[in-house]
Amino acid sequence: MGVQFPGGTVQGVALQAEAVVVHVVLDQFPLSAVVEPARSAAENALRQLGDQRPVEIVVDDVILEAPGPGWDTPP
Amino acid sequence: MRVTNRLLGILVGLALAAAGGFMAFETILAAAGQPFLVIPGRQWLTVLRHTKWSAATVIVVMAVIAAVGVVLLIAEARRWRRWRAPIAAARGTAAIAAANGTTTWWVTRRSVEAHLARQLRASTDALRPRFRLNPRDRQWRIRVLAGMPVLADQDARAAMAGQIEEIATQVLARLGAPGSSRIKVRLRRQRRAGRREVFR
Repeated sequence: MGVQFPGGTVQGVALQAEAVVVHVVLDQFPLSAVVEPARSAAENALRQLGDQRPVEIVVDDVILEAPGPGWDTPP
Repeated sequence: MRVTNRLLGILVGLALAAAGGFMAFETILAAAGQPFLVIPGRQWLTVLRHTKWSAATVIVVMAVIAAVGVVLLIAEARRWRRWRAPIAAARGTAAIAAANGTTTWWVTRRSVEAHLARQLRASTDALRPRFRLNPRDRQWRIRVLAGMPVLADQDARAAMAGQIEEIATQVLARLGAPGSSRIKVRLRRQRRAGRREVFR
């Protein structure tokens, strides 16, 4: 899952015709405490670019244990 | 695995393209009155011309093809489990979210199943718990299959089933699943460690 562009890839984001889908892995509850701000931030970024598509957040996994260092760094 | 799949896909594609091109070439040769190069075309034509529709071979082949078609039709028409569960819709707030200009968010089915299994392993003595989630808008249906020691008696089985159901209910509530989720627990005596159990 990702968006490819010349020279790289944005992991976890899918630009669809009707919506922008963002995939996340969470490590805390309640999920909405992270999901809603993430969705708002993504929507604000889109609006600044003039993109009116809604943002859908998909929780790919819920890991309560601390994931190791560098887990969020794309290879 | 992804690289392997892509390589296999390229190989199959090339093989099909080569076979198609070759067959087109043979057909052009035959149309021009030339003999076939590799395939026994004349022999095949003879068989096709002299085989009746009522021949047993023809009937068997047609029956098999029809059966495969019916199976594929049923497989495509059946309602598959969703790969993700809508949280806002499950809570009944989808309409409110839409009115506010917000959108539903989702949790992938496999992540819910994996999270449930992790929580169960951490909280109970259930062996190799496996979850099967069928997320619907108003109700999530969950089947649990777990192993337990061979020597456990009936009371222990009932206690274990109740404990599993209680933990699963708590976890689902934290995830935001609808309150009416249906949980079915099935316990099996674990015959030996490492045995792979599957849903039927």
